[in-house]
Amino acid sequence: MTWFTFRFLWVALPHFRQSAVVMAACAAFGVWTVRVMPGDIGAPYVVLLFCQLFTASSEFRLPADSGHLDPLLVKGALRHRLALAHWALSGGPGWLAWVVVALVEAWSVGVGEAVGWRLTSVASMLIVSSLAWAATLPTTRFLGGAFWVLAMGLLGFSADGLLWVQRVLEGPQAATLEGTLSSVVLVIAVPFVFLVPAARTTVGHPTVLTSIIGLSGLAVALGVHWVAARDFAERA
Amino acid sequence: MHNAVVLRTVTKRFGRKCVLDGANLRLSAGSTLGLIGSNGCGKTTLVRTVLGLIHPDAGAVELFDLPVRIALARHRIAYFAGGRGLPPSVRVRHWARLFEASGPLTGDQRRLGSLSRGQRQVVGLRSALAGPTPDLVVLDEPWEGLDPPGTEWLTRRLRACRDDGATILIASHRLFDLTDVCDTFATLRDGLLTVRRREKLRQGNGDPAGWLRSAYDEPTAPERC
Repeated sequence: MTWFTFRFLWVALPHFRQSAVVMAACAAFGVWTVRVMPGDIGAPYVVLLFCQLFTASSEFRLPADSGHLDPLLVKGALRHRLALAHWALSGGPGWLAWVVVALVEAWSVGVGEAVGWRLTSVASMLIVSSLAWAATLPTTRFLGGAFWVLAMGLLGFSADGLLWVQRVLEGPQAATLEGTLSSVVLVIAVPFVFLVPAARTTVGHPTVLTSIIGLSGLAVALGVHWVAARDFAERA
Repeated sequence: MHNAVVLRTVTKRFGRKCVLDGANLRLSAGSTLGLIGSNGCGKTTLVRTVLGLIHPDAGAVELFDLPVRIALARHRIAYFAGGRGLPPSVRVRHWARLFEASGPLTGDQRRLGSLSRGQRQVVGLRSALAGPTPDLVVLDEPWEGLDPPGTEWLTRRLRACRDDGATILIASHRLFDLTDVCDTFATLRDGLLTVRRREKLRQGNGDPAGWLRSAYDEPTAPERC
């Protein structure tokens, strides 16, 4: 992955710059929250995760089909590297904002108490960054985030959905296969549960965490493969 | 002489439509090829297949006797396929700096989307052809939208590239401009590529542009491949 690949994508796809501005605002809000209310430190990460749902759902198909990426490909940029650079730029501003808030939080309350340094919190950011990016590649901008919010809304507004969420969160099922699967599905549907302290002992089981990290990797691999195998034919 | 572009029985379908039907082409380094054919015949598909932007369904493509992927990384290739390929929200100076283009473009604050078609064409061509002479120049409808000075500049620039040893492949309907630059011509019809050298055309009927125009007159063959 060369510097030119990042520079080209940064110039040619302006939505990365817009994402950076949004995430800078999120970081500023997060730092302010952590400094003013050090005891109530879940909020900045909820905001960050929510914004990441949409910034990671960045545009690829339309600019690719319009020929905007042709100069980069003709300069010899390998497609899988282009895809990885696109993923890095889609999620990068969010991760930077996360690190900034987590550093300030660790300085305020200590690393042990900091929400931003917990493995479950980082895993929630990872699944959002990877799945939203991969799901949006063949579609249009924000669609991954929009579907995610819709799924969470459907789950939150249905009585059965809420009951199921409660059952998964309260039960010690993570040790069983069925419990692990339920927990993984819940974290994918509502990644915010990984930020809830009470949920860490149930859905935060190592097998669930491993599955979430594995699924994030799989999503990125599928996205990279899609970019590498597709035709860059002018359609727009 | 080395081969710059080689297509071996390249086939490409889009759905049921066969765009390239076992196309063969051998273009030696330093030669200039004009590719013509009616609208929708597959010129752009052929050009993009040559550059590895489109994967052929069958057959092989080589650039400078290397697989396309490797050749793109090792050789300097200039490509421009019209103003539509320029991102509209990017400023001209940012785009120009990306390609290390010099001259007035580097100070132009306007967004690419606010330019006229001809102006976008000029920005794209100047950026693509900036810097040292490329090993391969591939242009798709380069004269579209250019005013007479722009046309003259482009023809001069392409001739300079040709004289410096660049291999040139141009897909265009502008027969007069093509005959000004190219020494070899190819017509694409019903997925089939027919290549003629300029000298052979002159021996045949003495009018290269006449033969090129006839590419548009021939009756359509039934769907192949």
